[in-house]
Amino acid sequence: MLDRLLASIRKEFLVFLRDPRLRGMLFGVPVMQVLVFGFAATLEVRHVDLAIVNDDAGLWSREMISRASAASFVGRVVYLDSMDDFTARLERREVLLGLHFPADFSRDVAAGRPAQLQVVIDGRRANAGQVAFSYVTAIAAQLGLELARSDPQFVTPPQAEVRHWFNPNLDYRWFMVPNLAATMSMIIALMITGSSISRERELGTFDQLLVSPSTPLEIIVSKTIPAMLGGGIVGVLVVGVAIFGFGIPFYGSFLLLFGAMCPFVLSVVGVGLVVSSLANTQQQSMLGIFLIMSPTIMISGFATPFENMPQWLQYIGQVSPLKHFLIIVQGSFLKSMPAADVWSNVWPLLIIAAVSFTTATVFVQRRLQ
Amino acid sequence: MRRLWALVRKESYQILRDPAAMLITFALPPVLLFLFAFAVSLDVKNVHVGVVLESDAPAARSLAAAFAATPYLRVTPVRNRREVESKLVSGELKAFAVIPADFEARLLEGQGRAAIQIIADASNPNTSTFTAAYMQGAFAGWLLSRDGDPAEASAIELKPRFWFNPELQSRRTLVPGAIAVVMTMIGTMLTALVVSREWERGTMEAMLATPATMGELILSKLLPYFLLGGVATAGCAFLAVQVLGVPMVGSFWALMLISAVFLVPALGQGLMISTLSKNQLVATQLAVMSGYLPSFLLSGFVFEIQSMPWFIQKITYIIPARYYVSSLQTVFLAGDVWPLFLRDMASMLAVGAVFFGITRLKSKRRLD
Repeated sequence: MLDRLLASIRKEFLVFLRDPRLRGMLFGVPVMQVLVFGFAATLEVRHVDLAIVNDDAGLWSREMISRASAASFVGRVVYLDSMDDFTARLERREVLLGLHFPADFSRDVAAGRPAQLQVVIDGRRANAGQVAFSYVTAIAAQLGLELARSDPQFVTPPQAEVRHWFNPNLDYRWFMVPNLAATMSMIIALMITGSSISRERELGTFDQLLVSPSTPLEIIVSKTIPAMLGGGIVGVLVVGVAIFGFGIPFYGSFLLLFGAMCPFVLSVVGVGLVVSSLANTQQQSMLGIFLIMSPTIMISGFATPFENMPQWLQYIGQVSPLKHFLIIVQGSFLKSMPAADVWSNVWPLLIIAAVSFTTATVFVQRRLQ
Repeated sequence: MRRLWALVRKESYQILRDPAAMLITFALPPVLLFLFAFAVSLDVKNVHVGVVLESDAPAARSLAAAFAATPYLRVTPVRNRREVESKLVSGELKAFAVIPADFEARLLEGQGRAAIQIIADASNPNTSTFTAAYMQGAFAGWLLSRDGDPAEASAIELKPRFWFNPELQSRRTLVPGAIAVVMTMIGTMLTALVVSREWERGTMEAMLATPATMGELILSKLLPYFLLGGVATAGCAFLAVQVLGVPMVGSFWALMLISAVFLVPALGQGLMISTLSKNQLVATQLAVMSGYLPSFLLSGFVFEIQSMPWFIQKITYIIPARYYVSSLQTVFLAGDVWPLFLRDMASMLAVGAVFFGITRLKSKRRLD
């Protein structure tokens, strides 16, 4: 019984390791992807193009312009003569935002009247535009504060001190790269399982499994182990890249993280097996896997926060294994998450795994009869 | 020509009979569009935060009440820091404010000394920034209503105007972007899968033995997907405008033209992947990694391209979705800006030419 199981597990491994392209695809590509996306996926705003339309000849508009140009969010600064020219460039997406100083800007500042500054932003790039606008606001507020300080009667109002815990420099990579470790591990595990049963069916070797003495449970187990290892290895590999390649601090416990990775990959493999056992061809199962994978990623909080979603979608999101594991990965990297908190995200994974494996076994059993 | 027509008919039947292809064309687009409209949101609201009230002074209570009344915040009031610190680790709370025991004394002292402390969970930097800003805003608003004196009547008054999207709904920019993801799936993923299956099963070799030329074979495989892509575009546009409330400022025909041009590099990429891999598992993997994920992460509709490091910016130039997203957002929100469309379409065709060129080189060498 155990011999038989080991033999079929060995066979499954050989299927994957024989093909060098497949090997590279499974392990090389995810690492490359993490390097690219880790750098690319940032919501910080840097080096954007700024246009200036200055109808004012005074000192204060020049002061404001020189401060804005020196800010790190600004890349190129374009000086334009008219708003028409600016409109055309904004339409063609050549600049993200423009500052328009009216003719009496410096006069108003000097007289102590509120001076108006028009900020026009490309709403097609809503997020970057919003962030850039908050930077402009901060620059204007700073200038305003300095002007006010020159008044001897001015009293600085009480402040609120802000601290950003776990990631004091607000480095977006510290958020994104650990997320990618979980996501890549999921993609690989899903792909390997997704093709496993349907591949046999397409090649006709599933019939051979039927006449072999293997039980449905054995078939399931032999299909599970290579996928689990594949997903697990990729997960560990990417965690390594995060720590040694990106220099992201890891304050938690490796034991807890890798311990939690097992139920995570198990639950993902379970979902993959259900799809694979339903599909008749590899192509169908690949498309099925894809149809499941993209919503799972999107409702997990991978790119944008889980809490931003409407409540009904958050309930559905509980079904996504990635949602629970992302909390564990982020917590392990940055927050040194204690075992109790890890456990409260592990048990949903175990439930997902139990449900999906039962379903897959039932489906395979039905195929056998 | 008749031979080509016959081949196209054969391929079309094959697609129409294939439930999986039908699923991708008709079920995936609405699912993805709805997900991008509802699940992917950068609008932070209803954030769970804690307020630690260490002082019993009336001013401290009044500030705590002001936090609780802030529309974007869901406040959990506590007495002890410890209680909220562990909730910040577990993720139940995203931030907390500490109103210290000597709050009133600090307020009177003034001169820029910190009266309260705001601690935000920066494991997600975006949420952290927004949450801290909301809480600072609540504090500043409370100060203003208490002192009644706009101490900081700012010298410079900013008049922001967000063109093309005045209410700043992230949905309006994300849904056009989602169309690019859908079309990448249909163009790249489906083609890669179908053609790699032909190679894997050996039916491609069988086809090559027929009098049909390589060009005819490839064209006959791509044409049905081209039409399928057109149907999907029209369907997506209908959903976006009628159901998801995205405006359509530009013209429908401009949208169709841009989409048709986008399909050239998208189909080219699918064909290239299948020719290089000739294996369904590898082809899917490649299509996801080089098609789906880049169309989502590198095309500029979620993450700003100009903010990426320069070497990543260089990579985005060969992602066709980058140009498509730029034109899509424009045609939906800004109107028919032909200089922009022409530039984007020229870039897409250039990328497509590269993909087809590589495919041609590779298939020649292998089919001698």
